[in-house]
Parts: sequence; structure tokens; C-alpha cells
Amino acid sequence: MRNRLQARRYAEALYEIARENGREEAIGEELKIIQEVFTADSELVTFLQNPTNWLKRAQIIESVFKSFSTEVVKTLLIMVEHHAEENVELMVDHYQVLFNQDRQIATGEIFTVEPLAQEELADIEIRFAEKFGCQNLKLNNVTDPNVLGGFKIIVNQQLYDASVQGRIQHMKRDFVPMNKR
Amino acid sequence: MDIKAEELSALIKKQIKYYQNDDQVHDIGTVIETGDGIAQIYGLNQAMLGELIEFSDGTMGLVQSLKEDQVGAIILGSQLSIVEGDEVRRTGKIMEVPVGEELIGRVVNPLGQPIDGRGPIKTNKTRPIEAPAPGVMDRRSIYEPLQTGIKAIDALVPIGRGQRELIIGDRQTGKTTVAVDTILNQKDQDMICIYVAIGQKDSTIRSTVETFRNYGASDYTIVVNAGASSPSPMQYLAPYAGVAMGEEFMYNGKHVLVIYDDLSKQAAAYRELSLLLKRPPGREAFPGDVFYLHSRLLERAAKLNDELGGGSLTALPFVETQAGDISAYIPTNVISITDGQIFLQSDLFYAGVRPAINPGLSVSRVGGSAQTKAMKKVAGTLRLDLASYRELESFAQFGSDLDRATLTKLNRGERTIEVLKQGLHRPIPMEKQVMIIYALINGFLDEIPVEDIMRFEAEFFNYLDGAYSELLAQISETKDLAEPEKMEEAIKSFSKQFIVSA
Repeated sequence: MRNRLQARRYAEALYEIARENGREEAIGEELKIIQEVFTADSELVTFLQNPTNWLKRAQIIESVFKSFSTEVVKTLLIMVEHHAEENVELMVDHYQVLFNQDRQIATGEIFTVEPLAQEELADIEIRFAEKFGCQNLKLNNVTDPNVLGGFKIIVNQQLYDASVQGRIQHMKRDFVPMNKR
Repeated sequence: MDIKAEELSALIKKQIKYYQNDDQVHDIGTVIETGDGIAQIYGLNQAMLGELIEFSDGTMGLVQSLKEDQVGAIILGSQLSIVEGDEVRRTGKIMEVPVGEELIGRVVNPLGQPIDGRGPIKTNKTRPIEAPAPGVMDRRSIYEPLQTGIKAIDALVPIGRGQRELIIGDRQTGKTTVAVDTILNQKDQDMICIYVAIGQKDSTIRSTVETFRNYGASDYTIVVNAGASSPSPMQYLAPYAGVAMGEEFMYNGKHVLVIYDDLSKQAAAYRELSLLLKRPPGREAFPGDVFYLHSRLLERAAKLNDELGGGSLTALPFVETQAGDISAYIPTNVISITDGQIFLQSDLFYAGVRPAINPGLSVSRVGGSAQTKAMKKVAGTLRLDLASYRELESFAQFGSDLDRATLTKLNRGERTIEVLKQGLHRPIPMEKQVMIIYALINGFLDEIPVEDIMRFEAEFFNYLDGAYSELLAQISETKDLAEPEKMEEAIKSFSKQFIVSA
């Protein structure tokens, strides 16, 4: 069963080790590749979950990921031993979050009706960086027709709503009394 | 004031033009699980316990549990409109209710919204529903009486302003009637009454509100209703909303009476909430803090000292027992919190003693300090008389083979019980209570047959209103007995013209 909290623990540990050795960036890149292999229904995960393969788990991991750094391989070995293969994906996500937090980078999404031009996106990223408490903001542009106009930015569970949809909802709340909704 | 259609559009256009764009960053979360009036929300990392949150359709929620990555909230309203995946925002406010004079005469729900169909309530003040109780130095001892108008209570278990007196009994023993009659009697007593109905049938509340209206009690009463079909968070919050409304008046030097009908249903609603929030169940499946639930509510009743205005808040909580078991969990909890209890027993009720108050088990820890001098003088021996009557009652079955002293006691006891009976919605002012009890303890009723006592009393009061109104006024103003000769003259002259039924 996927357990977000459990995955966080592994991510925190790995990040600590990476930071001690000064290799956060490199390990981050490696983990991105690993994430693709360890998606929820991938063959590798299904294979590892099969009881007949349990005795050979350690061997398999070591041989498959020979070229990766020792910290990463060791983390994978521990996770597989604790039957936490399906949480590897979440672990990488959380590693990314810790990585970004340390460097005051935030990633989020901006919802618009039509795709934004590159300069506009960059401009918004610069202006909103301070509002969201970070120095560097990277926004992923998502087109959503429900927004109707304007834009909506969601970063780290925080919302800045400058969309027409949001304004309409707000007006509805103000103009329509509670018992008539 | 009629507004024409064009003006209306112009108004709306202006409102839209000057509509303030909201340029703040909000904390949001997503609903991941919802059901049974509880929503589990992912996100909302900065949410605080007891904070109000808002769902995307405007329904409010109250944060009750904080976990590492999840927040559990109770939904204050209909949960049907909340869907998994909905966005939730923090409001940064703790739960508050509207308070103020404009609420008087209205029927509201625990959020302060009117449910009597008489339009919106225009108050601009709100108060948080959770507030610390007045401290030790902010209070003063209780010395003013709360006149309930019910002879049995005012004489035997008097209630003072600022006291908490528990009313406990089985179902259908007349608990709500005691509350309604007390409220009806506060007409010119300079009191504001708040009746909090928790888990009651809406039809019962309807008839109670009608009674208030008919007897003119609406001019000083607020009704807070969380009916049986309202969600359990509303039933849990209703008493706190009521006391918050009362505190507004108390801290402005006024006197308030708050009636909680009843706390057992509030405890059951709280139990339901806690079990759904996965809190571990304790005795009788109640959560561990059910005592705190009631103690923090009842501690907010107080008599304030003169520096804070001298206001008071009297609380009359109700608890319903099952088969007279007062040693169950909730009854014992609330008995230890309140300053006394009034027991209503079903066997007394069915034997015709209404109000069915058991004077032996009922107690008021404030006692004589809450009685006027007049009442203290006449009611002093009443309790003892009743106790000795109860002991001898079994001998009455034997009939005539008893000595004179016993017969006199039995005689007097029967008449005492008869005098303490009272009709529905007929509260009696203090002066008249004093007169009839004075007549009783000085033997003026010993010759009247027991079946005629109630009629005697009714006609006696009419007579006093007609011929001896200055005597009544004197007792009422001085709060002390008039000269014995005057009082006895009044009683004797009435007894002469009273016709006993053959």
C-alpha cells in the first residue's frame, strides 16, 4: 500500500546523506531516472512484489542499478527489504520538495485559458516569487477552460486567485444569502 | 422603499466596478475523504485547531484534528454539497456567533442565522464561542434571587443569579415545563433569557416559541435551536453559542438566564463526532474529555463584581436520566459541576404531584443567600416538615389508630404537598407565594379539606389582588414580611368567606 508518510522518512534520510556529501544535485538527477522505472504498475515493482523473487531481491537491485551512486543503491536496497517498492515514486517526489525548499525554489502550476507566452510566464514567475516566500519560482502552465479568464496560481498548497471563475464564486457567496444556495 | 429596475442595474454595475480584487495568497487544501459530517483534508498546513475553514460552495467547517499531512474538520451545514476533490480555504478566524440586542425575540441556529423567517438579523458584533470563564477575582458571591415563580423551587431549593442549578429527571417528568414557567416569570424581573434547545423535536420548539409569544416572553428571550435533524456538530456547538450570546449581556451589566435543554443530547452528539474523528472511546463510549465539554460551558455562568458591571449569567442545564439512574456517567459529571440539583421523579409525577420535585434529594448550594428575607422566614421549616411527613406517610395507610401529634403532622404534611403543587404556565410572584406559605405554616389551612386547597389558593390570590393589594406591594417592595396582624387579618377575612365543597 502506498504510504506517503513512510516515503517521506526515506526521502529525508537520503537527502541528509546527500547533503553531507555535497551531492544533492547529482543524486537528484539519478533519482529522476529511477522514478520512471519505479512507477506504480511497472514491471520492476510487480516483479519485486512477487514472493518467489524475494530471496533474490538484493542481487537484482545491485545488478540493475550498478552504475548509480552508492547512496542511491543502498537506499533502494533498504526500501526493497522493507517491502516499500511502491513508495519509491513518492520518495523521489518528496526528495525534490526538500531539494527545492533548501534552495528557496518553489514549483507550482499556473492555470490559464490559453497557453501563456514565454516572456509573460517568466515575468509572472519573477513577480510572484516573493509572494510565495521563495527566491526562484518555476511555474508549469496548465490550460484549463474552467478558469474563464485571468489566471490562478497554486504553489505548495497556497493559492493566488486572479481568475474570473474565482471572482464569480466570490460574488455568488456575497450576493446570495446562505439559505438560498 | 421601491427601487426601479434601472436603478437596480446601476447599483449592481457600480458594485461590480468597485469590487475589490482579492490580492492575497490563501492557504488551500483538498478534500480527500468526506462522509458523516466529517471531511478529511489534505494540505492546509497552517491550519489551527478550532479554526473556521470554508469549502468551495461557502459551507463552513471547524478544524478538529491535526495530523502530519491531514486535517480533520467537522462540517457546519449540509454535507451533501461537499465532494471529494473540493478546494478548502482557511479563514483565519475562530468560530464566532453574532451577538447583541437585535437577537432578542428571534429564533436562531447555532451559527446565529435566523430560522424564524422574519428576515436577517442586523448585528455588527460577534463573539467567539469559546472564551475563558471569569476568574476568581472577577466574581462576587451570589446574593440576588432568581424568582422562578414555582413555589416548590423558590421555597425549598432557591436559585440565585449567577448560580448553576441542574434539573435532572427521566423523560416526561416536566423538565421543560419548569424552564418555560421560569422564563414566563421573568417578565418584569429585568432579565434576558436564552433558551438553547439541543436535539429537540422541531414541533416541540414550535409550540414552545408560541407559548413564549402568547405570554409576552418574546420581548426578552432568544431561542437557539439545534433540532434533532440538525448535524451533530451543530448540536455540539449550540450551548456554546447560547452562552456566548449571554456573555455579551453579562459583561454589559445585565442579568441573563440561560437554559440548556438538554446536555445529555449534546454529550451524545459530541460522542458521535469524536467517534467519527477516530478518537478513542472511554466509559459508555464517550470520549475522554466529556467532563471538560460541560465544565467549560458551565463555568462561564457567574455573578460579576461591581467593577465589571455587576451583571450575572445563571445557567439551568438539563440532564435526562434513564430509569432514574443518577449514577450514570453524564449525570454524575454534571452534578459535580453544578451548584445544586433539582430532581424530578416520575412516580411523583404520576401520583399527581406536579411539579414532580423531590424535596429530599433536591439541593441548592446557594440556599438562603438567594432568598428574600420574607421567603426565608416562612420557608425555613418547610423542608423539615416535608421530611417528617414522608417518614410518617406509610402510617397514614392505617387510618385512625394514631395519636394526636402524628395525626396533626400527617394533616399538615398533606396540605404542604398540596400547596406546593402548581398548574401549568402559572408562575406566582414572590409576595403571593409568601402569603400562602405563611397561611400554611401558621395552621390557617388545617381546617380546609385537602381537595379544596388548590381552589382556596386561587381564590385567595384573587381576593388579595382586590382587597389587600397594598399589603402585597409592601411585601414586594420591602422584601420582608409585613406585620403579623395585617397578614393574619387578610387570611382570616378570606377564610370566613371561603365556601368549602361539601
